[in-house]
Amino acid sequence: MAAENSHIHAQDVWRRYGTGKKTFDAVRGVSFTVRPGELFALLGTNGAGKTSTVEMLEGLAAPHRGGVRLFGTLDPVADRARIRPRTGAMLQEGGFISHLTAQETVGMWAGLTTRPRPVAQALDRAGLSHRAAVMVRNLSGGERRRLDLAIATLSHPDVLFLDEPTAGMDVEGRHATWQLIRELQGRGTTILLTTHYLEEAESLADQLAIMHRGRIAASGSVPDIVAGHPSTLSFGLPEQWTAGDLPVGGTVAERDGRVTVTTGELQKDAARLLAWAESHDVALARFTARPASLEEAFIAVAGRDGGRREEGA
Amino acid sequence: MNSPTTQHMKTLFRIEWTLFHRIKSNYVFVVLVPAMLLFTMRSVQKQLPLREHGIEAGPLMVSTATGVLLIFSLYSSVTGLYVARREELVLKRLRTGEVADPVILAGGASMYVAICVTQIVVVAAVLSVMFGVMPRQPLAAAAGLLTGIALMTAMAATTAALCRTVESVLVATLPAIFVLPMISGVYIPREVLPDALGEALLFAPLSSTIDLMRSGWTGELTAPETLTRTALATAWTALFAWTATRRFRWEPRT
Ligand SMILES: Nc1ncnc2c1ncn2[C@@H]1O[C@H](COP(=O)(O)OP(=O)(O)O)[C@@H](O)[C@H]1O
Ligand SMILES: [Mg+2]
Repeated sequence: MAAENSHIHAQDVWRRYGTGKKTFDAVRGVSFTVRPGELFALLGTNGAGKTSTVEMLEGLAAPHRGGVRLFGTLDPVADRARIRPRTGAMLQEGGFISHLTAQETVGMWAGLTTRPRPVAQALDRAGLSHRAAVMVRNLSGGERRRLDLAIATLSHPDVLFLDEPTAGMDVEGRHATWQLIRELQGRGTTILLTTHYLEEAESLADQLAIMHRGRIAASGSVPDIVAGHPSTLSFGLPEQWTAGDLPVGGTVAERDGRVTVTTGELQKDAARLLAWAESHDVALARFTARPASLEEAFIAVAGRDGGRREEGA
Repeated sequence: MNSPTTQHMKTLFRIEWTLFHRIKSNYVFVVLVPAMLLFTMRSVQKQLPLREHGIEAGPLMVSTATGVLLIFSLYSSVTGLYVARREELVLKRLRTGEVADPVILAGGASMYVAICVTQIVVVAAVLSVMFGVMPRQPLAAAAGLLTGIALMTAMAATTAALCRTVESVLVATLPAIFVLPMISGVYIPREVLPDALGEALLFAPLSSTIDLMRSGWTGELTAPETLTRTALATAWTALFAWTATRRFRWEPRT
């Protein structure tokens, strides 16, 4: 898709840290496009290059190579003054003056923002009304993330950058934040979100990209991404039969009386299997067929330990 | 007067004002430090052969106080402010918003500028009464004050660019705190030094400001001399501002 009718566009961007001999390319040729009103998630383990990518789109850093555009034609660095009244951003962490209260912090941003919503309303949306007089340094990590989101959305931005918006939150806080994000989606806000939580990407994203070591390893909608990965058939087999008797093309594994067939051709193998069971009068106990999950796709590109890691750098 | 920039400046000023009042010991420093420095300086300068160089004590004290306050009250506070805000990622967070880069820096510094100007004005008024001297070249004094503030703020931004942590601010500001007043005629008037050295030190960063302030009360500078000094101070400011623009880091090193 062309940059012109997009809200966020990255074309073969590279981000290089360091100079001289000690350089490191944290982002290596990333391209993606986010259409107006879409939520695009960058999913990846720590160090994948998500933050490094988002910062270029936010205009906090210029790409070493490649180009980024917002609202079709605007350059995040050169057109900063025109872009900022229409965007909101939440850094991965920090950014608060620790000796200000939550209310003073929102008040400060209201003074720095075109057409802000009222401070009390912003605090209320973030569920922080009862914490208004508490200093930021005494807020919990989750409360700080919610305060940050309240600031990022103070002026109804058209484009919103959320770098790990729910990192460190408890389940309740995470769901409340997802609710807020869905509300923003409902209002047509274009959102670029990074996360290392699969569930978050799966439940919020219209489009997502799995980032690994500075590159996009897979992208598309969730069904698009999992489509390329093997599906699973599983069922219990009566004792007189063994896995070797089954007429399927995929890999077959048997454990504790339960058979798992991993196959790239779910429909064909399922049909063959059911036909075989029918003709041999075999009951396949608790027969299930399911496509690959995002987790499986993620592990396939990011590695097993990568898919498991939670908090960190 | 209600452009976004004005609004941003006001907001950032107000925030620093709030924070300043949150730490009560700040009050003590604002009043006590200038007072103590003045008394110390007074006793030191009594030892200097001022009369044989034709230097009046009152105007000299005004220029000394201005230099000391610019360095201690403005320069070191603003350097600390920039580094602290950077380490907390506040500067980076502000850059995601609508405030322009120079306004982020100027807005935070403006509160300290206000405090420093107030201190200088009060001290100068007290000294004028004490020594029975009145300003003879208010324009020179104004030029001294303005160039001094601009120079110290630009120097603070440059120093902050060199600091890695809040802890290193102390070390990074040492040259300015110890060397600058020595070479710029803040503690010891340049006239008292050997002639060639004294004249060469006119080109030190804060010398012009000091000369301008003193002439504000003595009226000793001719119009061309006033202009030269204003130009010199402006050149220093431009140099530091240029360095800061190129070298300033908006986020901590990782
Ligand atoms: N300022 C920096 N200097 C050098 N390397 C960096 C810097 N910031 C990040 N990196 C490296 O770049 C890679 C990507 O980091 P980052 O974009 O923060 O990843 P993510 O947000 O996906 O966790 C990591 O290997 C990280 O160590
Ligand atoms: Mg990150």
